Amino acid sequence: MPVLLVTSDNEQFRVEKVVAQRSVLIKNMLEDVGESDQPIPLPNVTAPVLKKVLEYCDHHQTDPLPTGDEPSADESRKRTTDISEWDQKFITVDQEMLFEIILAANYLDIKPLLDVGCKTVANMIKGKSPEEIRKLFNIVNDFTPEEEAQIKKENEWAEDR
Amino acid sequence: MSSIIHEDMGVASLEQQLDASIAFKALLEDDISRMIKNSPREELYSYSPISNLPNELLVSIFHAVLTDPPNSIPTMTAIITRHLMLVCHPWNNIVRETASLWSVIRFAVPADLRRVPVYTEYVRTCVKRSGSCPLDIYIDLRQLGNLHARQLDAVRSILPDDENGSRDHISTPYVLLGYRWPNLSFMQYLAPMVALSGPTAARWRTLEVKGASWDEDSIFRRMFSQRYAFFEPTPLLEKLVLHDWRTRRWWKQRFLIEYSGWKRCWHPPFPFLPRITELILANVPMALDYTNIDHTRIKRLDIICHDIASLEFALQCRSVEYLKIAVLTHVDLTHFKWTTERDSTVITLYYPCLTRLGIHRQLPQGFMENIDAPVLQTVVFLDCFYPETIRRCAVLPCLKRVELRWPYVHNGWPHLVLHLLRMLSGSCPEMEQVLYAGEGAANEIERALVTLKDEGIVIPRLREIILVHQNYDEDPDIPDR
Repeated sequence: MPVLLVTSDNEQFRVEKVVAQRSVLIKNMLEDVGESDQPIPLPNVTAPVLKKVLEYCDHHQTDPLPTGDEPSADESRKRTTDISEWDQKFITVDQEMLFEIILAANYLDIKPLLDVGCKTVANMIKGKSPEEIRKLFNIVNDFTPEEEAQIKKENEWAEDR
Repeated sequence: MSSIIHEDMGVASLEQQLDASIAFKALLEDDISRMIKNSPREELYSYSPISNLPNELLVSIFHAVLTDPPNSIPTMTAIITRHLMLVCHPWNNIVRETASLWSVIRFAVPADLRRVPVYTEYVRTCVKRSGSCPLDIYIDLRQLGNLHARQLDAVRSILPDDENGSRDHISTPYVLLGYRWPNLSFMQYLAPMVALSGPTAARWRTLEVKGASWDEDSIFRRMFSQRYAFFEPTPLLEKLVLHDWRTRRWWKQRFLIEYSGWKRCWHPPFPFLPRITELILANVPMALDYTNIDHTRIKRLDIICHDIASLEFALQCRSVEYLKIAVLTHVDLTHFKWTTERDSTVITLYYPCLTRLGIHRQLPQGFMENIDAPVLQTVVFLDCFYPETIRRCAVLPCLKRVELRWPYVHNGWPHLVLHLLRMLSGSCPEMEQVLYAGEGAANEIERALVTLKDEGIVIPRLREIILVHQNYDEDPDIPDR
């Protein structure tokens, strides 16, 4: 049975329940309202972002859902920065969209998508100097030289070696 | 002459322009720093699209940045956190104030002794800033191997010419170096580890140590000896991974302790592991009190079963997904019984989650016959294989790959591959791949395939037989030789 989702910019998406339920938020809402034709409002997600998110949910619709009670040793093992090939292609978007997807995954409670987003940003940061990171994300260096020196001094044991 | 004067004037004019530009640049920089100083920092940060992410998501990203790819020489986490802190004020505040980002302590002990104090300081800072968070500790000692050799060379060069005396000293290098050359004491290497010992043990969630492969003595022994070991209980420890201990001498000592009745004198460094789920003691013959470990929680296990108690523990881990055991005692499981205080029950080898199984040295009699592992996909027989024990095998419906590495071919049982393939044909309908590493592998496989063809035996999904042309000594999977 399809579910009707309404984005913040008032666009409607009709999707299969099994796809929509990859989102824990939507799954809980559906359980709360029971069998109903009522559209589900998603005020924090715009149409272009929801379209991408649904593309992910559709591709991963048969994956086992995370249980949430996995032991943390397993969690730590999964804490690698590996991303599957399909996910990598999927997440190759501009920075603005990438952060929007992360925010949407967080809001909709789609943990695997959130992981993919965070890992992607992490991979972008890895191996870069502070200056390179600033350049990458268009962050202004708001430190005075004195402040910068102070941080370096506090952590001088971590000088690049 | 006039042209030279003309050129000089040109140079002077350019120099004036350059000075003016430098002065203008300095003015601009002053303006920018004044603007930065006067602007609200939040406003500056808000120009970046990443500023839209709330702090908890940035923390998740930073945690992912701290993750190293497996098998790499680790990057000291402090370098990464320092880089993050130097990006901008908001990031600096997040990193500084998030204790969990300091709870991942990862470093490779450097070969250069002069750098060791830096690592000790790093460890202390992490411990302090991580507050009360559980600690995930990754220590890599692999770089010490080379230093060991260099040290010995250095020692040899300063020792008197008494050859016998030198040899004696060199056989216990840590004593020698501590005594004769205090600045090069092996104990210095342990400083970062000692900084982690004591009260922090109660906070350990992960301890992973990759060791150096030394012939003479092992830093592990020092690290976990009574004097330097971690006396405190480790109630939170979920993952204990110790790798690459190939000390022949220690191996022998282990047996000495076992068989001379000194076992009770040995204090296991981890006496109480109530939450352990991953226990990997790869090639580490360390004694553990298995009665204090909850076997129902174990998901990954790699241990040396030097006695019945440890084998019993391994076989009782029913939730295990990855199981690798080196069995050093001959055991027949056909009529084996668990013995408890009140009762004894016939053994059942049911592993509903097991996907990968490795057996090193002796394959217990009756094991393959009685195993019930519905999702098992890979089996590795390593440096073992008594074909009598797999003449019959239980049905393994998902088994796809079998590795046979360096089997013993004596005992009057030369046709190992043939027997293996016969067994697979009857019990493993999904079998796709067989790997064989051993002498004369190609001939043996060819003979086996011809015989199977004559017998009309078919393994329907088998698509690959891989021959490993490798010396026994070069096989990284063979631990102690």
